[in-house]
Amino acid sequence: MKALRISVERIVRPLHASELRKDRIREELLSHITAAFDEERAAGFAEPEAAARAAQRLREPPTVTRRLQASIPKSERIMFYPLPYSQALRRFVWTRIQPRAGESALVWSVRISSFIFAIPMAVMMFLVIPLMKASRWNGADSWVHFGFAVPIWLIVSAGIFMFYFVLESFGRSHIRSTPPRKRLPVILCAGVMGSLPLCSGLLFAWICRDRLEFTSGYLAYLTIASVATAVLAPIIGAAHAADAQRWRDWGILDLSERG
Amino acid sequence: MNPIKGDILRGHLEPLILSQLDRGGGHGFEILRRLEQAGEGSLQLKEGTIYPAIYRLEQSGLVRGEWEENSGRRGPRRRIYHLTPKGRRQLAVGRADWRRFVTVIGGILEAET
Repeated sequence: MKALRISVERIVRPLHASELRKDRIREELLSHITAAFDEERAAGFAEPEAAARAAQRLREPPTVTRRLQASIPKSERIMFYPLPYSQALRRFVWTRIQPRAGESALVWSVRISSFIFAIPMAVMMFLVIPLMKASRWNGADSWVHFGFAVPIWLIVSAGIFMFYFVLESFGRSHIRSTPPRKRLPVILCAGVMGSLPLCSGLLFAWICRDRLEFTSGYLAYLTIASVATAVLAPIIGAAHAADAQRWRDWGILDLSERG
Repeated sequence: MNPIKGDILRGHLEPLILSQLDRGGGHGFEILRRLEQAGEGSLQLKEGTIYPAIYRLEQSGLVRGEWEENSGRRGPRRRIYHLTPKGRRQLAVGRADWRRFVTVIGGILEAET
């Protein structure tokens, strides 16, 4: 029931804590308030009144929030303390990257990866390079350094595209029980995603061999990225699918714009 | 008899939760019900305040929580808490402290002038 979820959100949303912790508290409080609501209904109260009584049983949201906040480790409280304008920035980013109604996993992934590619490129073109030119620009060498950033960032964005495509496709296929044959592109994509950073790194090192010493450093980073991607993708994918299933079960999908 | 409300219970809530978990694992709502039953209607707890206490106990390693799986019920999962060996030792300390408190304060309050 939406009124119960709103009561929980009033308590949980202002917390300075990680999303992981907030999700845990959110689910536990929702489970509690649902049980309280069921008791009130069994006592003969109509739904809206039972929801209001269940919310009152929890105590006033600011008090519960304050006590919950005090129970969160200090390091986490500091780390997730909202900086000025961070909520506005978060809302700006979130409204652009969240899946739109009826949007396919493919279109959504393209949109996110384009967004992630475009922003650093814009920062580099309009901020970093002009600043560098004004201070210690080293002609062709500097252009080479910045030139390398473009394909690398393109590869990263392609990886991000596939990562989100895999995540979202697994999540959606889990919810909608997509036939196995439709999962094949997703599984292929997951395989490519795991090997892409390393293969591109090897290719990059081969092209640049004996010319630029710093390529060995990039190769190391790409190897780490490749291993991390291969390890993280199934873990996050599985968690994503489980979350999607749970969220559908307890109807929190319509509260997905979380702060 | 006047009900015992939240503010008086502050400081005692954590040992009370430990004592109820000593009877067996349970989720937040269940712990609350057990406390109310044990208090025979004299305890009036605001339900939302039990969770910060449980989280503090969990962070201190006195209780261990795990999500309920395959319960067959729909909706959000419940988190089941169990007493750890450290929690059991802490409960014994809490009980001893309470007996001492009652002996000392009771002795003072009940002393006839």
